[in-house]
Amino acid sequence: MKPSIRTYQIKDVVTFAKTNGEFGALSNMAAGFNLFINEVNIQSSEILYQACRFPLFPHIQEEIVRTQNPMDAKKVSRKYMQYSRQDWYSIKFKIMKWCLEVKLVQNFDNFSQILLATENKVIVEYSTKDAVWGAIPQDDKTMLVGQNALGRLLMELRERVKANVINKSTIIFPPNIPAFLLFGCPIEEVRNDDYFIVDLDEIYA
Amino acid sequence: MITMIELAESIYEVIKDYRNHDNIFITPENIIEWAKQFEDNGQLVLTELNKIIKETYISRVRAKEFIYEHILSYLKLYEYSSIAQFLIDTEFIDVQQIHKSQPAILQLLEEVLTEKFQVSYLPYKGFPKVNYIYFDDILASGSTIGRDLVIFLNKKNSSGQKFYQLIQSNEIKLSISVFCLHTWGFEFQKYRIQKEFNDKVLKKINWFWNYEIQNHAKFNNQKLNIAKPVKGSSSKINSYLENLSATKYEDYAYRKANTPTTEHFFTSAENRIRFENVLTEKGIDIINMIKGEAKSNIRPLGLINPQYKIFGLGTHFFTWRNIPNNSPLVYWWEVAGHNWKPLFPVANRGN
Repeated sequence: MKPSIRTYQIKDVVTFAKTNGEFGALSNMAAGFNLFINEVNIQSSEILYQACRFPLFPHIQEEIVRTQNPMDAKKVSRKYMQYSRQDWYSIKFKIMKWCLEVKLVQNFDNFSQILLATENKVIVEYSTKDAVWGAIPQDDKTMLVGQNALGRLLMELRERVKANVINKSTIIFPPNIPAFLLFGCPIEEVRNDDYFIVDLDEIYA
Repeated sequence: MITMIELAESIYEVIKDYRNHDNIFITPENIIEWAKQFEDNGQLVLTELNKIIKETYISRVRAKEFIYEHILSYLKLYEYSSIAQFLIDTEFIDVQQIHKSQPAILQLLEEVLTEKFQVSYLPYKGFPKVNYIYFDDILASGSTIGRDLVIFLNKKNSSGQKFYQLIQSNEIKLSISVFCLHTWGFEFQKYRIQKEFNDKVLKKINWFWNYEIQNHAKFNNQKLNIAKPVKGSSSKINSYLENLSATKYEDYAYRKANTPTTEHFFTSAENRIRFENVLTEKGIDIINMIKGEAKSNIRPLGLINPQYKIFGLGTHFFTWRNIPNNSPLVYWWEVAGHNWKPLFPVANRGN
C-alpha cells in the first residue's frame, strides 16, 4: 500500500489532531484505549506501533512500552531510528492497520462509537507536518493535502464495523510479515478484553 | 559433594520457624524424609532447594523487616514527619478471612509499630481516612488482590462517591503492599483495573513489593525464578499437558530452553532442567493418587485457573505461616491415604 496524495475541503470532512477534540479518540495517542498484547499492557496504539518497529531489539521495545506515554515513546523510537526493521517503510501501513484493529476489538464499545459518530464523512488526520499519515493545511486554510493514510485506514475500519465484518468477538490475526515479535515472542491472535478478564477469579472454581 | 544431612541442616536453618505458632516444628530429619520421596533425585532436590531457599523463604523476623520498610516508604511517599498523624490518616484494609494472610500481616504490623515507633494503629481506626493500604503476602495469579481491589474501588463514601472517583480526584490514596509479586499475574491485574475503571485510576495506585518473581514468559529478559519444565523427552509430562481439557495460555506451559538467558536462580542450567522435571513428574504422580476426578484447578506445579493449559505457576516463595497454593504440589500436598508427606504442612486454606 502506498496511498496517493489527496486534497480535502476542510468543511466537508471530519478532522482530528489533538486527543482532546471531539474526535480526538481517533488519534493513536488517545488515552483510555489500553491494549493487552502477549499479555503485556500497552498504553496506546501509538506505543504498540512504535514497538513494532524494533522486533529484533527487545530492550528498545521495553524502553518504548515502559514509557506509558505515546509522546515519550515516539522520542525513544526516534533515538533508535537506525535499528528500525529494514522493511519498515514497506510494511508500516499493514502494521498500522493491525494496530487499529487491535485498538477496536479491545475497546470495542468506545472506539466503535466514535468511528460510527463520523457517519459517512471523510476522516482526515489534520497535521501541520505529516503529509503521509495525515494531511497538511494549505495557505488559504480551506484545504488539506496529503496521503492521509491514518484517516483512510480509519474509514476502512469504520466500513467493516458497519458491515459487522469486524465486531467485539473478532479475533485479530497478525499481519503477514516476517518476525512480527514483541520481546522475542511472536505476536499471534489478539482477542478482546473479556477473554483475559472473565476467568481471573476462577482459580478456586 | 555436600551430604544430604548437611543440605537438610542448611535448609532447616532457614525454614525452622515455619508455623511454630501452630506448634509445627520442622526438623532436619523431616527434610531428609521428604527428599527421600524423590528417590535417586533426593540429593538434587535438596541441592537446588538449598540454593534458592534463603532468597525465597520469608521468616517471621524477615516479614517484620519488610513491613518496617513499607512503613518507612509510606512516611516518605505521603510526606509524613509524624507516625501518629500517618496512622490517624491511614486505614490498613482488613477484608480477608481470619485464616488468610492479611490478618496475620496486620498483626505483625502492630508489632512493628510497637517495637519501632512505640505506637499502635488500633486506637486510630475510627478516624476519617485519606490513605488506604492493602497488605498481603503475595500476588501470584492476583485473583485475591484483584477481586478485593475491585470491591474496594466500587465502595461509596457517605456522599455517594465511589472510591475510584475519590482516587482520581486525589481525595484518597490507595497502596498495595505485598512481600512478593509475580510479573505475569501483575499484568493481568493491571489490565483488569484499567478495563473495569480506567487507566487514570491505575496510575494513581501505588504498588510496593519486596521480592519479584519474574515469570512473564513473553516479557523481556525475565529471571524465571520459578520452576516449570522445558519441552523435552518426558512422555509423562508431555502427555499430562496434552490430556488437559483447558484451552488458554498453552504457550506459557513450557519454559523456553534458552530462557533465562543466564542462570542465577538454580545452581546450573542443567540442574534446573532436572529439578523442574522431577517436581513436575512427582506432582503428576500426586495428582494420579487422587481418587475420582481431580479438581480442575489442581496442577503438578500448583493451583491455577481451570482454563489455563499450563502445569501451574511453579511458585517458589514460602512464608513462616503458610505457602502459596500456586507452589508445586510436592511442597504442600497432604491428603490422608496418599503416599506423600509434604515439606511444609499447610494451614487451613479455607478454599
